[in-house]
Amino acid sequence: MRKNLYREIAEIQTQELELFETEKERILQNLHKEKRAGFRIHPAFKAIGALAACFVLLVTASVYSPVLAENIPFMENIVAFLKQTGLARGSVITDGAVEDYVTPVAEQADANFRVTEVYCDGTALVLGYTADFPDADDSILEIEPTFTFDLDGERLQITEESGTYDTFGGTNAKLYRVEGDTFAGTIALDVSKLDVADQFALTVTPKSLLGVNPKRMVLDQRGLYTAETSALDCTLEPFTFDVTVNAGARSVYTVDESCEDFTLHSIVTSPGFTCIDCTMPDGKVYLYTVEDQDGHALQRIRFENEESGAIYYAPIAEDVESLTVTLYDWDDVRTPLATFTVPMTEGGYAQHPAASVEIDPEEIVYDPPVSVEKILAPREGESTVALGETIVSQAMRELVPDGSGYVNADATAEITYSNMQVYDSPAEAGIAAEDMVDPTAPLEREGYSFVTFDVDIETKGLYGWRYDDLQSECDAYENNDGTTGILWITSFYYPTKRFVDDSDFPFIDADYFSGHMNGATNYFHFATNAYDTHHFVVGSYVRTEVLESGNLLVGVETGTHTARDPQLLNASDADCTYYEIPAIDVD
Amino acid sequence: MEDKALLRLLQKDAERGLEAALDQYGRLVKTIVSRVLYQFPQDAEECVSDVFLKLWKDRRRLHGAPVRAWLIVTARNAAIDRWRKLSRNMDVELPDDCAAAYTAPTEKIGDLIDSMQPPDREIFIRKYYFLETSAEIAAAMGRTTDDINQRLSRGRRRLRDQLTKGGATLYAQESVQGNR
Repeated sequence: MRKNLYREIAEIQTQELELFETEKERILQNLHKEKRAGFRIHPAFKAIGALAACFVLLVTASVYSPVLAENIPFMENIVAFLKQTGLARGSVITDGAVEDYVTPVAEQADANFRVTEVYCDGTALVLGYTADFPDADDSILEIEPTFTFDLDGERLQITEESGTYDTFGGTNAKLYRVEGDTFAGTIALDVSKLDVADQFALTVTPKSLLGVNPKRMVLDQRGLYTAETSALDCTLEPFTFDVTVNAGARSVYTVDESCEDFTLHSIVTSPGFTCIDCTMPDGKVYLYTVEDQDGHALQRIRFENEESGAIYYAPIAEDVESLTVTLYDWDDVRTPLATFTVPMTEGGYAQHPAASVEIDPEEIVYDPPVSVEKILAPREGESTVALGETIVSQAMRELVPDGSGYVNADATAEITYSNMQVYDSPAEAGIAAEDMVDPTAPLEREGYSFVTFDVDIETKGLYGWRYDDLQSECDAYENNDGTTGILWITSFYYPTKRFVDDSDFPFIDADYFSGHMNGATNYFHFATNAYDTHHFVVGSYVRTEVLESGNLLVGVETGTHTARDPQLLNASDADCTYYEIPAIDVD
Repeated sequence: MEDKALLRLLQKDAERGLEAALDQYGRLVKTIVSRVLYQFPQDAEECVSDVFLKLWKDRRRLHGAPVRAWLIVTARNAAIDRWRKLSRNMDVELPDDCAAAYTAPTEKIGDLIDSMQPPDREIFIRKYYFLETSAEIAAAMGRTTDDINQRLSRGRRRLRDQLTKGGATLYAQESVQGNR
């Protein structure tokens, strides 16, 4: 990133949303948890939750093992099958209810690609399809298709600012290997613009079928990892069949009520969608929410060929009695302008929740590999010493926040580390949970040792920061002589790794400080006088393998700045001197 | 709190530093993230959390960059990444105004902005980094939406020309088609 551009970005103000206190608390709690988690999982897989993990076996067994897959009759109902197995894609499918309404399509002989089922209510057109590829490499687990669609000879297309498009497909229309050489997938399209007849001829023309191996990630031209793809050897034939619109599945609730210039004409429901038919004037923007009688908001869903401005919601569930549309002005979303409550007298649709799956991250191969070991510390210009030696630090000489600079320019602190101890847990060291930085966490952590050091600090004119909100702590310090200030043990205790790779969180936390005061926000700081001595014990959970490989260093900020980058002096990135910790046989 | 003090506090005392950072920049990060993930409030909140976690993780690596700008860029990228993950499992699309920002190669946008004069520079920064809509940019800069759209359109054409001349692929167009 260019520095000038950064500075320009920093100076531009934007209209900001409110951050509510409850949100802030949740975020802080989450940060605390994440920070404690140790970042052992590669960020690429962090989003995979416990539910997905549960289904990893299911995916592996049912989809990637043809033997077990035979127990599931996917041919009877592809939409239902893909939802059950977590392979359904596209919100019209995953959040919809069309699986109970699909009808079979007559088989097409000798075709690689076949449409096997269809649902259409005049707006939503859902297709289930299969494809056989006996010659496809076993590593091809997915097929990414593109199609064109003609309804009674009229091409389905959308027009946007960037042009007109008539080819649809891609990620949400993928086919998945479900049995042997057979792949199955679905697509959901909005055909409302074509004003289809009760029965129409649909021609599906596959334009491309691209084999995908999601277990092998390669770099694309942007340098981003993407699943490896390969062309499939096949003949793509258009296929035409008749589709009968299931008008009975669709209900229209006429409203025709207005507020200001906004008019709610009707609400349309079907197994494929819910639609709010309304008009609002040009140049005026209204927002609205759609909720059921219990205040549950309907989820937005999107068709593959959705055009800008089209809004569809998930179909209503069987227990929905009414929908309420609440109208807001764009400029004031706190006060509703109006509410329209519409009884859903025809009832809703049976919904079968879609499972969610991901491929087991362990099975994914990255080419080139993601992990590249990097030297973390010491950096150029930083030095190392052995335990027992004394490090002279000038960290935190300046007074903050008055910005008066180095008021005690010759001040130093002498720091000496000794007596390294390795325990299975803090309990073994006689430390109680309530004295740890996170008193709620279990004391024992699998795969980790608990390491402590004695640290002796002698201040020689150094007394650190004097925050207004910490003044009471300074005043309470028994040797208060007018030079009392606050130092942070984390200036003098900076455990870290020598080497990291991209999948590894680089830093090691300080987890225990014997001089801590109460509460998380003042755990690490301590009051001192300009000439003072302190003896503390500090401790950290360290992965046992890090200890055994000699990958641990303990840094002490020296307060100096190596001239690596002229910008550095404006930041807080002081140099460290590190204590070398030799490899330890923990057993 | 000035950047220097905030970064120091993050380094010294993560809890206190993160709370200070959230107090100072939480609204801004939520705003940027919500412009992409407005349909997914829970994901947006997790994304805000991820951004501040990254701030804490990178606290020794910011090398004098303005924290506010770093957070804006990081929030934008994190929100778009989160959207990409969501889009793998769900049929979701970016708001139209974000789509252009997402599909354009970041480096090329930087080149493009570098070659621009005011007010186009600010318009493009607002569009591509703050993910503001044309209407929001117009309101913030005291211009009409049509004027903003025309300037963005001209800039996109220049971007397309630059990409084409450089032999690069038109990611934006490819991506749009690929999602159909």
